Amino acid sequence: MATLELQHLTKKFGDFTAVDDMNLSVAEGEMIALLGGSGCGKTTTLRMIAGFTEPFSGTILVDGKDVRSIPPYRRNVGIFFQNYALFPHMTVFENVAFGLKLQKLPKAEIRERVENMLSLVKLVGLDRRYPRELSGGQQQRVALARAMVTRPTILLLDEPLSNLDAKLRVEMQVEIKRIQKELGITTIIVTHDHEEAVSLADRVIVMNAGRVQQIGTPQEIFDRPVSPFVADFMGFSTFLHGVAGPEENGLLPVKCGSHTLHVRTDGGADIAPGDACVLTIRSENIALAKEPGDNVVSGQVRTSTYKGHTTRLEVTGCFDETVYPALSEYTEHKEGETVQLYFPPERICVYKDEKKMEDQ
Amino acid sequence: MERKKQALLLALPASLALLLFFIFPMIYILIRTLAENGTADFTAFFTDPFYLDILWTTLRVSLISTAVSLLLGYPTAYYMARTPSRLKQAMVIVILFPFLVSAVVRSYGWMVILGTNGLLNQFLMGLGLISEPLKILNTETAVIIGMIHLLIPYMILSLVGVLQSIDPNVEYAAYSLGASPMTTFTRVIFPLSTPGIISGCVLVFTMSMTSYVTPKLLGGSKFRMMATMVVQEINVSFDWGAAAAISYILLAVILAVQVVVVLTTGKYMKRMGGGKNA
Amino acid sequence: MRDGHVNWLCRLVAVLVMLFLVAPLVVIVLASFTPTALVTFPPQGFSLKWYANIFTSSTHFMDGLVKSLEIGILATLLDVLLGVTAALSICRYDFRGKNALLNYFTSPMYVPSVAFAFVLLQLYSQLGGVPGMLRIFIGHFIIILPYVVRNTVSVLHVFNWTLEDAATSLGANPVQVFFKITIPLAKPGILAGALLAFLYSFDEVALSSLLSTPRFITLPIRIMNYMELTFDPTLAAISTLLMVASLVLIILMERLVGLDMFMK
Repeated sequence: MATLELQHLTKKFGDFTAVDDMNLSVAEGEMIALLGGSGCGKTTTLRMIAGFTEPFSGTILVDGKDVRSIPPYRRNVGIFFQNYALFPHMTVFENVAFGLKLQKLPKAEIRERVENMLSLVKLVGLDRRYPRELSGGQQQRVALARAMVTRPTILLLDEPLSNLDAKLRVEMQVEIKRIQKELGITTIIVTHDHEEAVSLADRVIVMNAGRVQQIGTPQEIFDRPVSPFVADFMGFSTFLHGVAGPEENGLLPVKCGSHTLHVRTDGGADIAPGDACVLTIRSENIALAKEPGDNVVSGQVRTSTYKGHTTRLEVTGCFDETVYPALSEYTEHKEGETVQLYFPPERICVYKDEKKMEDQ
Repeated sequence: MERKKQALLLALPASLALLLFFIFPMIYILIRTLAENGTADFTAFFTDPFYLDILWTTLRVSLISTAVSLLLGYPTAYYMARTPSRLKQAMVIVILFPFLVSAVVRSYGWMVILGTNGLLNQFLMGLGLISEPLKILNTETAVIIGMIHLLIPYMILSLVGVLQSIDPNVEYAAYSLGASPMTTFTRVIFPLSTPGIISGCVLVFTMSMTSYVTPKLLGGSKFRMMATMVVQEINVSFDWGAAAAISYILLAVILAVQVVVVLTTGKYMKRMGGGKNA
Repeated sequence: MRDGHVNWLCRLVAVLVMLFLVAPLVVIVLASFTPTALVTFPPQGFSLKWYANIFTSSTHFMDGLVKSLEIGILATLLDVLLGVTAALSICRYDFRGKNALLNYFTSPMYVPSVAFAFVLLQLYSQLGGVPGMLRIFIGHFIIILPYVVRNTVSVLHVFNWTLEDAATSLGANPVQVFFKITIPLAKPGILAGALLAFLYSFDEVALSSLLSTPRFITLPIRIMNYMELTFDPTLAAISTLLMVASLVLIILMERLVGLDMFMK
């Protein structure tokens, strides 16, 4: 258990800046998710914390102490590797006991701690198996047990669930969260899956091209992304372009095509009348409307896809852009059918259209 | 920087050993030969029909051995690659076993079979098929037989590795698209296995070009290939200049083959994903 | 396989090739037990006198065996050290010229051993006074180095280097990582390479025959010398013993690393 602080952390490979001036402070026992696409610098950040690569500049503080000069094998950082990296020539027991044996603990204590850990990850009775004799989910739990049994000060999880099928992934999300809270280890989890990040972490950090885009609680990131990029990454799929009007009563009117949508900003948006802006809204926040009204726009259904708990539509003709509502109640919609869609003002996010501003 | 230093440090012992005991002597003796006799020994080689005939014999024996090894080795390797593992295991042992038995021992076996009073002649005369023993031992035929026996395991192992890595479903896919077995072979399997064919052929050809024991034991005293000629020049004719010329010409031929193969197949291999290690 | 025809042909060729490969070896084993000096088939009776002959008459086979083992074991041990470090330097780090370095380490493979033998012979004659064992040893440890390098590289090439990071994060220092993770996992390649290297040295003729001195003669040369004077089944007897030794080695390898190692 420890606090972790990254200050102006930067990593360059030649001319390429993998991580650019990263700042982060993690509280004791907190679980942070680093979220981003491939090449965004999240794994490089992890490797710097573990000590496998040296930062170009900046400091890494664990419990307030600079750890940059400590070799990786003395940092006591537990790591879960994306492809597990289980030692193929050792049994489950030997894999988990590896770190403890290096600490030269008495045999009885090693056995006890390994057995406790194996029961925590629900692998009792498999201790004599070799990794190749285990299923993907079991291997994953061995890797988790191995990373945690040494009671690391910080636990790093690199894409822990990416190789698992959907059902197992949900189960393991619950498991990881339970074990992490039980042991209270300060944890950083790297993932490219926004649902995983949101459901596991206390705080989420969205990265792109080596830069931190947003730090916030899952709710903040999920509902109020700070930029269209983060919104896109968090699964927003409807993006509209328009021109802002003067704000009135906390509502900002934005003219998109031939319609005007009102966005609840309560004075919080730094947008002047006449500015080009981007609107975005989560698919499940778009609703069907019975009759015309404010923020109600009609359009034609192009496709309708039944997704089990939602029905996803592709609607054109409302604006220049296509709109993707996800309706929770099952209703059948034919191709070409006209529907009226309601865009709740408090659910719409608005940003200045940086691209358009630059072009002008 | 730190890692680069480590890499260099690890590479150092072997590099130095090779430099001191291998590269240096190879270059030093070449320079010395040239300094003492000029290019006389080399021109002598290329103007004397006696030597040219030896070079031609060496090339001929190597080409025939390589061709026959490929012809017999390919079906064998294909069968091994597509056979359930139990049988394959047994075949691998049969192939590896002679591979681990010395060339002297293997040549001796062929001497017992092919000699004038050998088992083959006993057998054929016993059947009344021939009245005079056939002269096979101490001929080029015997050398080629011994050479194939020595080298076909290398060919098969090169091919099995590549053929094994071809997904059988690729074959089924070709069938399902209407390809006949012949077309499937010529258009799918054969092109995919070219990296193995090339590496196998180069290996067998090179080893055959440089082989010493087989031509010496099975070819008799009058049969000469490049390698046996080097020893003969040293031990019998005491002509060290000629030995040097033959040694370095043989080396040049081998290197030329390697270079040609790399240059002509480099592009092709790249397109194929660099063979099995890609 | 849908295609019975091609398969039938393949099987026939495969069987014939197997028979071809085994035939001279079977002949040798049978020949070693014949009582007559001329090998006949079917053998007339059974005798172990040729085996006895190895030890009783002046074949010097045992002396040759000891010398061959000395050279083979020493050269292999040295090359495991040189070859494994060389392979690690290529595989563990990413740098330009990796392939050139690999070609350099395996370069003795491309040089005809007769040519190398000649070069060493000339060099020794200039230096003078190089003892017999060292003369052959230098030639052998160079010529077999590529086998250790190549086989170790073939394992390290697909080595999952994250395992080293994993061990490091669990508190293993570089030395511990090397001996607990890297070496155990590279062991199949190292053993296969060492075996091939040893056998190459043990069976090597071209270098040994040019470089041997009257007091230091390896077993293959002893056998060839004997063959030139006396062509009797003593040769079959010693050959059979060598084959049995090879058989033991191959079974040992199959147990230790599996035979797939040799198909890479």
